[in-house]
Amino acid sequence: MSLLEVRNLSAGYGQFQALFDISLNLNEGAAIAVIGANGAGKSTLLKSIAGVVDVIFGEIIFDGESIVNLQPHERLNRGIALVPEGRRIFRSLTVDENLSIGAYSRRQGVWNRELVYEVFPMLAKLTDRRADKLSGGEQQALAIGRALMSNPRLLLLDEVSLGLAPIIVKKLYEILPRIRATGCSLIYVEQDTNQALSASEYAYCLLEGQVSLEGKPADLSREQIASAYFGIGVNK
Amino acid sequence: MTSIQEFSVSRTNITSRICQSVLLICVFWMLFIASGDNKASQGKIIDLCVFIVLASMWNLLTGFSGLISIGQQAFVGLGAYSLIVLANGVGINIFLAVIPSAIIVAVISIPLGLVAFRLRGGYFAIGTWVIAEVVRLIVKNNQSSVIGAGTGTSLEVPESLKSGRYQVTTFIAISVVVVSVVFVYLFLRSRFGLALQSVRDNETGARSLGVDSYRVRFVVYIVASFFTSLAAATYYIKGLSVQPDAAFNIGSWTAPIIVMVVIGGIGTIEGPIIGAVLYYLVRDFVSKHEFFSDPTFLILTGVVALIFALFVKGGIWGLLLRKFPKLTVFPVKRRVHIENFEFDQRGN
Amino acid sequence: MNWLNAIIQGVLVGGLYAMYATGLSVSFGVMRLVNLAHGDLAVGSAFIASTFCLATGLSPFLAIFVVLPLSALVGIGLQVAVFNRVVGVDPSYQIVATFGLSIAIQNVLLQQYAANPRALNIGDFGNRSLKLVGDDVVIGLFPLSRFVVAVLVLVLLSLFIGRTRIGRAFRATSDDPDIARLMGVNIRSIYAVAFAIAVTTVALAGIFNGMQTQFSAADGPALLIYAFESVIIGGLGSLWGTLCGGIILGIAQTIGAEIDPGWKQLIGHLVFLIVLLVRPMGIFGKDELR
Repeated sequence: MSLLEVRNLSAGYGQFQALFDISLNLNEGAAIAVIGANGAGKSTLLKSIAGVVDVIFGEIIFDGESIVNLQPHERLNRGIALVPEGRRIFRSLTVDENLSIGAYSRRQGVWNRELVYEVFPMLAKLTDRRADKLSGGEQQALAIGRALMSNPRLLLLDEVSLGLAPIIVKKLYEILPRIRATGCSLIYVEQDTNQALSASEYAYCLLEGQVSLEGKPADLSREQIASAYFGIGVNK
Repeated sequence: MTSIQEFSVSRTNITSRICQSVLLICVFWMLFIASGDNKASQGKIIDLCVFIVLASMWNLLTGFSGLISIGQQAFVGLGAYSLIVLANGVGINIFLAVIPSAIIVAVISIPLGLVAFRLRGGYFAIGTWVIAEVVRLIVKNNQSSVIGAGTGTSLEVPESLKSGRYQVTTFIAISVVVVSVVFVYLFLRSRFGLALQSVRDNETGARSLGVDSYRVRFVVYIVASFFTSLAAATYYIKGLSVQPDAAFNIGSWTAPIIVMVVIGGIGTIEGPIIGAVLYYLVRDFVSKHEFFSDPTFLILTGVVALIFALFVKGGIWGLLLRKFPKLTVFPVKRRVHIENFEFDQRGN
Repeated sequence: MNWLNAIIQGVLVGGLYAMYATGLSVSFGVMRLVNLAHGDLAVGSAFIASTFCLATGLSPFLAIFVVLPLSALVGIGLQVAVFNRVVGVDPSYQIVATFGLSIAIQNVLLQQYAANPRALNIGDFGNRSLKLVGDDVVIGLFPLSRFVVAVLVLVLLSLFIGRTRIGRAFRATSDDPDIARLMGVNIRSIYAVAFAIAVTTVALAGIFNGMQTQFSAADGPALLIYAFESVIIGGLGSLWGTLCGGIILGIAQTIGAEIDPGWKQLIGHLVFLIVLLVRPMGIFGKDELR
């Protein structure tokens, strides 16, 4: 059952167009990866789905409803949560308060403070610490936990591995199956292809704002991925 | 994709030449009046020139440098009193004292700027106001006879200079306005001007390219204080009487200036000129009709400034530019000419 | 003992200044908005209260209950009609817009009420006082209650911002409006509430001011400056810092007045400038809204 369908999406920032005719499909309960080099448009894609980037043309259907004209907070109310690039936790709020603000929309579901602290034990010890005093990995955990507090049906993870040590990244990805088990679908955007591909059932590779390759990770060879990622030998 | 065979970069076009010629004619017309005997017209020209300079300087600060000041009246008052000190106190010829008085104020503006620049944005604005208030209160409480404390004082004009005063002042006013407008034009066309606008548009970006944003803005602050006080000195050679509460009054100086620039168009050289002329025409019209009381006119100016700041951000000049994209009097933007095409920086 | 009295008066008036400053602090903290018409809104509220009292014959304290809800509505109205268009854009337009608003309000008041000063009559309450330390140190009952109200307002606001869901949304918006939006926070509503708080507190301050001193149409700018100086001295982002800033400013002014009546404002300004030069982030300055 399709949860999210992106059809012929073109989007950008003011006069700069970043996405050209992107189409993508996500079934309920699945996890897909969007990979690509810097500037390929991966973040822009997530932001368009979340509602922070203007859509020039095309359609985004979530759970059968067109959401292209909805504001970000309206999309959140329908169950789309974004873990933004660069974490973007609220600096002056404590860990606990960051989680509380994540629950601002008051959406019901399994996720609450206790569950988040159980899934991210590192945060449980830091409940009253100001968010800007956390390490990179802790901030990333907080950003994910904050998004989970809104009980999303679709969680968009924008480059969660950026700037983190491999061992921390591994830990974060180990938690993702637990998130999926609660019925949440995932889209990972990553520059590091290995983690993302191993954690997803389907992958899209973006190059200069267009889909250059898609398929099940098992079916895609290293060479195919490399060419699609870097644009070597791809006809324009 | 067509390949570019030949291209050149230029700034002026025929329209700007025409507009510049029109301005030149206006200047000659003002000079003509200056050499005559009509004191009323000469007075009006002096006022208009003074306000064009004040408006241009405020625009330079706010529109081109991102320094929103509501404290320029400090330099008006300082200009007036510095003139008084040099002319009455030291005994220099009133006309010759104009430029030195402005230099003195420019020097005084340095410590004032050091304080003001501790703040940014909206708080910088109020800070400039507080500084103006401090200067006003210090002058007001000053006991020296030259300055005259709260009751103020008057510029002393020796007999020999009395008969030609209006004419000479009008010439001075015209010179000041021409010099300041040309200065702003050349300044913005220079590398310094480019650095300035880059700081306004994206300070972090500019600094990463090596622009010292603090210094660039500080220089502009000093320059603006110089020309503002130059204009003030000109104004007071005509008006003669100086009082601290009037000379440092935000409502008499900064309010009209802001309204003029906003109506004309912030961030353009032409804007302040258009705004000043328009403001004067309207005020002239209003003063002839009794039903428009002073507060009513001021309410109108406040509301107009508000509306323009919300809905007509580019001012009247901005509106004209949208209709006639090639229109320019003081071309600062560069145009690329490729064979038969022309693109300006906005890609039009 | 005049000095002790001066200091006490300074502390008490500092409470009033802090009330003026609160609105400025909140709207800057949440929206990065500096409203140059801030002081004029205080004066306008005093005039409305005065009109109400003259028309109904009721006490100014009752007028508060009429004017405050009105101020909240005005705050929301202004935010929606005016300030939403200048939040987040080039600050020049914000300054110019609020400056224009300030001129308009001042002259509307001038036209309606002429240049004559008015006062709010609170009868005998204004004359009562407490005596401490024999006959030498006297505290007026009204300034004391005004101070207490100011502290109460700050306590309530502090609790609101620190402990409630909307208060958290305020702080989140102050930190990162784009991400707050992603959390489901309706930024427009938050801005409206923030500005309503700003106008309401400054209206209360204006009315309290009018109960003790005369006020006239052109008083707004001076109040704006006092509010601004209190915020800067105390430090951006700290409500209690603003109280301290107000108190320091108040004391500086009253001591200045003791030395020479013409120096009251000047000493206040100079203390402000010194703090700005020596410790620009203010005495308790932080970089957030708290």
